[in-house]
Amino acid sequence: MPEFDKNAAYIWACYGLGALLILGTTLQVILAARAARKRLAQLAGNDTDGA
Amino acid sequence: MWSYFANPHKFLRLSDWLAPAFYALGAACIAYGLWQGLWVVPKDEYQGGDIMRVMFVHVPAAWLAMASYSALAIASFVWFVWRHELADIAAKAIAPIGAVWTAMCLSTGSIWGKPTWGTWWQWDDARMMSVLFLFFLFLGYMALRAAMDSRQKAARAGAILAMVGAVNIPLIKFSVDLFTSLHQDASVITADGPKMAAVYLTPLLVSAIGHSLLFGGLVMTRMRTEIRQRRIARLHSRELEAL
Amino acid sequence: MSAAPILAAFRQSLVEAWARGAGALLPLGFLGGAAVLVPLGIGSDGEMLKAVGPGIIWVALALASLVTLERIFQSDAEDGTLDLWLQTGAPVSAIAAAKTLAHWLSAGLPLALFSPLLALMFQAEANTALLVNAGLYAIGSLAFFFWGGVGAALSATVRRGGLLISLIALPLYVPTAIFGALAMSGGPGSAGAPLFLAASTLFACAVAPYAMAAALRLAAD
Repeated sequence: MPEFDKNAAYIWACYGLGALLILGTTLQVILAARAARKRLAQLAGNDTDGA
Repeated sequence: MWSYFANPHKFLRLSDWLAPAFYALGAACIAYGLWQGLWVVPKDEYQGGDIMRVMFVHVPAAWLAMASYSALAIASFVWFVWRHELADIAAKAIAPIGAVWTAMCLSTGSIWGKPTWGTWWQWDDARMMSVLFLFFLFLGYMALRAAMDSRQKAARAGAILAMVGAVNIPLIKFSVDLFTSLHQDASVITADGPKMAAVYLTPLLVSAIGHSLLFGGLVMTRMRTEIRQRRIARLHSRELEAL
Repeated sequence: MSAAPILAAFRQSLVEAWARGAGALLPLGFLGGAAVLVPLGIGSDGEMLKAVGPGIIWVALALASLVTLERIFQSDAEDGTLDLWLQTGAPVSAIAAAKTLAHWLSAGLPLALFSPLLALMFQAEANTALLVNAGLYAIGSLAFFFWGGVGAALSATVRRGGLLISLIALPLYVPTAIFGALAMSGGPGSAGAPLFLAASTLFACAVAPYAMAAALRLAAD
């Protein structure tokens, strides 16, 4: 890992925060998309069964 | 021509491949920016040493914060005039992602400010203030939509607020600039513009492109989720009717 | 197109403000209370109070506007008066503007006129600047009421809408707060600031009624 000068803590804090926000948001968005797709498939499956 | 883009089916087919492509390209660009920012780029003593590396996270976030609000306002306007449901879905999808990037801009900016200016927050800085109010605009938009009873009402209320906010942004920007230009200290975050050397500018631009692509991918995925959720709701109500 | 519904809305709002909210007394009491609390909270150092006084009064004006506006459209939406307003042929934007103006006249303007007394409590010097400032507070508070009206209209159908109004209105209040503070600061830039203040208020008066109308139509559905 690179060595930084006196402000290393701030630099890592920024990059860490950026990583956390980006990865967290991406994870939430993808998980929500998966859940919706699953739910829709379930419902659509029910529909054709019931019809 | 625009009606082509208004079709949700066409959008779903487009985003089937476009969204993953955006994610992949975005991740690659961000990885490049990360590599450059942390390992390759030399530190600039004039800009405060290593701390200026934060610019590769902070500046793209700032650009995206502002660009995403513009996108939100434009989508809201398109919906308001032409009532394409996809435009409303886009606006709804953009808001929380825009809020996250705005928060990223504010927090990384604050952390950058502490060692550079000695303070976590500077009320005298025009950019900080403008971005803070942008954050409130995003939050207000999301809160208003959530408070409405029906999707239609949420769409209409959101569109009104987005457009009122958009119309006020020049005024807010102008007033804040006027306010801070009278008080501003000598040192300002300069670090952008053509006067930046290519060794910094290239990773910055690539990072910005990466963030934008990722943002676009996230918005597309959220739109797909929203389309599906609306279908789920319609199926639910049809089930209830059939009972 | 008759002006009768617009005048009726105006008159009704005035009556409402005076009857239910005891007119200007409630907002004045609120403002006075805030003014008294501040020196208790931040200390009684004369120089400091003189410096923060105008800012405190601007904040109190903003808060007072949010407090008075919270129910102005909500009660109409609840008891069906809103539907009546929409059924008259008059433009909804004019009706909304009339109501907002009436509330400003009964709450905002009295507060602005009362401001010289408050300024004196904040150790301001007793000269004509106090009267000029009262005028500036009047102009600025008009913008606060019109933008607050947009927030109130948008949250008319929302229970506990008070917090939502504040969140919506806050960014919209910023230019007025900034130009108002600049105009009273006496430093460089304070010369042009009153004009900018007036301009932003005019902008609010021109734009806000249409936003209020769109939001009220939404609330009535």
